[in-house]
Amino acid sequence: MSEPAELVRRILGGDRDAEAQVVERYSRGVRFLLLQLTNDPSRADDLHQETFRLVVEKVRAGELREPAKLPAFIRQLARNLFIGEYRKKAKEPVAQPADDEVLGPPAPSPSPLVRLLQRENARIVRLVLEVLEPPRDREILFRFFIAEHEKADICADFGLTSLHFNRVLHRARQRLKEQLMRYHKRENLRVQEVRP
Amino acid sequence: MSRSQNSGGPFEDHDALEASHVAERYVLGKLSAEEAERFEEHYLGCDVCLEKLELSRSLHQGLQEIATEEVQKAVGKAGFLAWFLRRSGAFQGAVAFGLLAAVVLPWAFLVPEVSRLRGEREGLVGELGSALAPQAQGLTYRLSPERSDPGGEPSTRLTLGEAPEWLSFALQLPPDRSAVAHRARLVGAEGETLWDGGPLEPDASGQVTVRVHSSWLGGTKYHLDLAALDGEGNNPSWVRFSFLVWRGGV
Repeated sequence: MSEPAELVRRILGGDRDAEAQVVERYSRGVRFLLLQLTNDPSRADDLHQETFRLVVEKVRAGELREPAKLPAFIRQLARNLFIGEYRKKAKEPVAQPADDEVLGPPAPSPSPLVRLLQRENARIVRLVLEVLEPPRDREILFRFFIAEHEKADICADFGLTSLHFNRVLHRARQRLKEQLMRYHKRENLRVQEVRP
Repeated sequence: MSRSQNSGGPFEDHDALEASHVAERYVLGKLSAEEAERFEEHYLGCDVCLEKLELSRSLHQGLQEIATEEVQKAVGKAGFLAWFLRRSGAFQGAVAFGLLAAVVLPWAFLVPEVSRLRGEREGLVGELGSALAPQAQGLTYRLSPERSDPGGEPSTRLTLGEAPEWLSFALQLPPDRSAVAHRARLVGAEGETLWDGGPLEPDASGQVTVRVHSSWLGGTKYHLDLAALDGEGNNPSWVRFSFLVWRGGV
């Protein structure tokens, strides 16, 4: 995989393959960033497409002055698109957000699809909680992710070392990964079964 | 294909990122704007970090959903939900967390044990309803109001083990016919309010029972303050009940 500066150089030289490589390399990250900003998969998808359309257009036009900073350039374009949409959709005047300000989502009502996905995700996380041992680990997760207590406080309360705490988070992630893989495998099988 | 080759500076050290939970803190919005910017520039092209971020986000959202479901279950019957949903997002968050802290969160910790705990709760309610059996039993502690020497050591001392458990505190207030309900608050040793809730109704014997999950108590002194509310929801005076917690092995 080429370095960012090399990709930019090739795009400037009219190399379409380099454009495809930029999309391939940064697509997952841009989608995650937009998902984090919008909290809505369909809005994130729309902005994701628009981001790469603009990235390619602007790089071709030589608007990226420091080619090595391609990731920062892509990030900024994605955030600008989100902020633009945020401002457009706000029904009432809102405080003008600075470019680098961490914005919360505008909190619209989630669509039925988003609700369905959220419930499905919660069901999978419940499965993870059920297999987590000892039960105290579940409490640690809730305190860290929901109550947003600091790691040091949680460790002090439970008499845990930092290493032990890290292991709890690591184990939870691993269990979730296994459950998600099982879930996707099962869903793929279902899709294959209903295909003509 | 695993990629992590862009200009991420200090974010290239994945062991350090893991140890300081950067992915989780990013998902929770706890990184500063500058840290978030630098991390975003890094993870945009880093599959290792993206996997952690995706899993952390999924875990966070799943836990949030579970917590919300439990809150809705808890407040739905009281007709409180409709009012709650009309409030601002920040207020909803604060109330949701308050409810979680006081009532729901411990249930979510013990997902597989919910049925067993429900049975246990039924048993405790039955016990409290019986005027002939006023003695504290099992996990029920009867507290007396603090009348003198407010700075002294409480006479009620609890030794708690590591296993999480529900603790019931039966609080006896002086008779007050104007009181329609009561409000209670749990106060820590430094005077900080840990939980504040109500209205609470006394049982047939005039006692108000407050249930606290052991996970919220450390090895120190606590106070349960109770006030009678009049018809307008005012709480003119608080009565203080104190207890001391000892953690097993400490």
